[in-house]
Amino acid sequence: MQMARTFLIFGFAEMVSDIPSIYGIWTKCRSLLCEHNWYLLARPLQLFSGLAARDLVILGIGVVMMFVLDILKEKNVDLYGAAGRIPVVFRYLGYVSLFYAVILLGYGGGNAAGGFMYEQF
Amino acid sequence: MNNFKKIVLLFLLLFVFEQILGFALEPVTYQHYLELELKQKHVEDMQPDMVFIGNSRVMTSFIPSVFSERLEEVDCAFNAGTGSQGIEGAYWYLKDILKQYDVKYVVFGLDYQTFLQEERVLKRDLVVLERIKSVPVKAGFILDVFEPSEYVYFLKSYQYRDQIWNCGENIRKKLSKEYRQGIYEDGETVYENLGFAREREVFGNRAGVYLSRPWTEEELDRERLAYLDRIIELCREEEVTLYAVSTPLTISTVCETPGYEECNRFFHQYLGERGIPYDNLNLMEDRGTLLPDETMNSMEHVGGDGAELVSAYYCDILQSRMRKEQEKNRLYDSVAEMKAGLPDLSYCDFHTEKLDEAGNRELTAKAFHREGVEVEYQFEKEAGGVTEVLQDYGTGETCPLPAEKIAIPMTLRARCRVRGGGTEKVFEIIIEEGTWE
Repeated sequence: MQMARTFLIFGFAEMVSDIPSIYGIWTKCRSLLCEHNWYLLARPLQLFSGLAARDLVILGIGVVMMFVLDILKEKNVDLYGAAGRIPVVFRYLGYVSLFYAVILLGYGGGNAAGGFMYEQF
Repeated sequence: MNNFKKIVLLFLLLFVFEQILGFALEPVTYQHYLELELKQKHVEDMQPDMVFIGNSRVMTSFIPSVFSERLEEVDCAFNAGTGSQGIEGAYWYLKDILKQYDVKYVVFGLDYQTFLQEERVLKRDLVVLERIKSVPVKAGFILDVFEPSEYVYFLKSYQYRDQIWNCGENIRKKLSKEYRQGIYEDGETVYENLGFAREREVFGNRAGVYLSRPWTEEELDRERLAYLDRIIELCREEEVTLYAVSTPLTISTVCETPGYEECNRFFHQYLGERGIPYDNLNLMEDRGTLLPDETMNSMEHVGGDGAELVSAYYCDILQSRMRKEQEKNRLYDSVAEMKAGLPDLSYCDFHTEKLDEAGNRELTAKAFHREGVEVEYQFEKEAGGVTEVLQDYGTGETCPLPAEKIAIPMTLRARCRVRGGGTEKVFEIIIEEGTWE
């Protein structure tokens, strides 16, 4: 429920974020509420356009992980405590895996090392 | 477990992950093969005494075995050229090589473009960094060239993260028997030996006019030029003989790029003042016959067998110089002289232009020819295996290409010949889906 609410708020903010005038915002809101153009709220979905299959897989895994953590939190599961009970070696293995997941799958830092002029070097 | 042990465990795990991921993500590189060969030379008690340093033009132009076979003074040569190697990288890599081996001769590949102000390409420095063995030299290179924000790229897992979907292929190649034995798998660019990579493809009839970035002294990057002085100084300190050489570009690039003549003069003077012999192989006598543009792989790389010719030609120059004899192979002093020595027909600017919205086009061919020579052109179209003459031999440099004659795919051809006889040269443009979009 909270997620749906957040999505709608975010969708509304996205809808009005690049409108330069109050009148423009008013027109958009009228279109949304009076003409029932609900698709205007779905603008955040445009963020997914242009994403490759690989990106969607990464995104999917991230969403599932967040969803699972949210559910566990709602059920008052002590995540930190649970993590503390895992043997140190495995726990650190998990941390290092997460670190490398960010390195390998994350964006940012540009592509300075990519796109080499000559494939072979 | 106490905190110290936890920290050790964390670093150990990071190290292990980095090694595994580096192995899986890093593609097969020439460095592996070069190192295997150098180790083998070490086993045979042979030390490299000549080294070529520079960018891909060096890597694809000089065959080390040609030099070690033809030059009595050289027992073992190796090519330390790497793709897009900058002058900073050349200095530090050379410093590392001179620390490792008792080198007598260094051939530095001088590429004018390297000295022009341009945006830095991080990857070219990362490749050089990977090749440097000595820790102090590596540290010096890092502090000199890399920004702290770029240090993350020292992690191979980060540097090659775009290879994540090629892991399987990388691992398969690295675990193969051929890889361990130093046998290179085929490709368009083929690693042959001791750092030399051969470009197999050649322009053939597709040769045209290729312009490089115009050269002006104002655009010269003085900081980069200072590295040339550092290379000269380094060779003096290590008592190594330094030669500078420019490898061939296409003839059209040398003749048509604005400022090339001034640039050639500038470096001749600059290196001459410092007592460094400099040879510009673009100005070789008979260049038009020996190494015409059709034999090049790209604007700045020799292709096919061109490397053998360039290596042998330069070898003879070095041989004469080392023995203080009269040089057999001569180089012109200027582009103007080289132009005057070109054959009647050398290259041709052949292109099409759209004339109107109906799709009618015009073909234009303008061959570079010697003064006083008149050139005739014939225009042809080949589609579906059928060749059609669009315009018979004549002195006209243009030919209409009506929309109804356009077929895709097709090959457009301009045949050029000197009026009254002489060799015919053929230039082609291949038109495919999307060529004119």
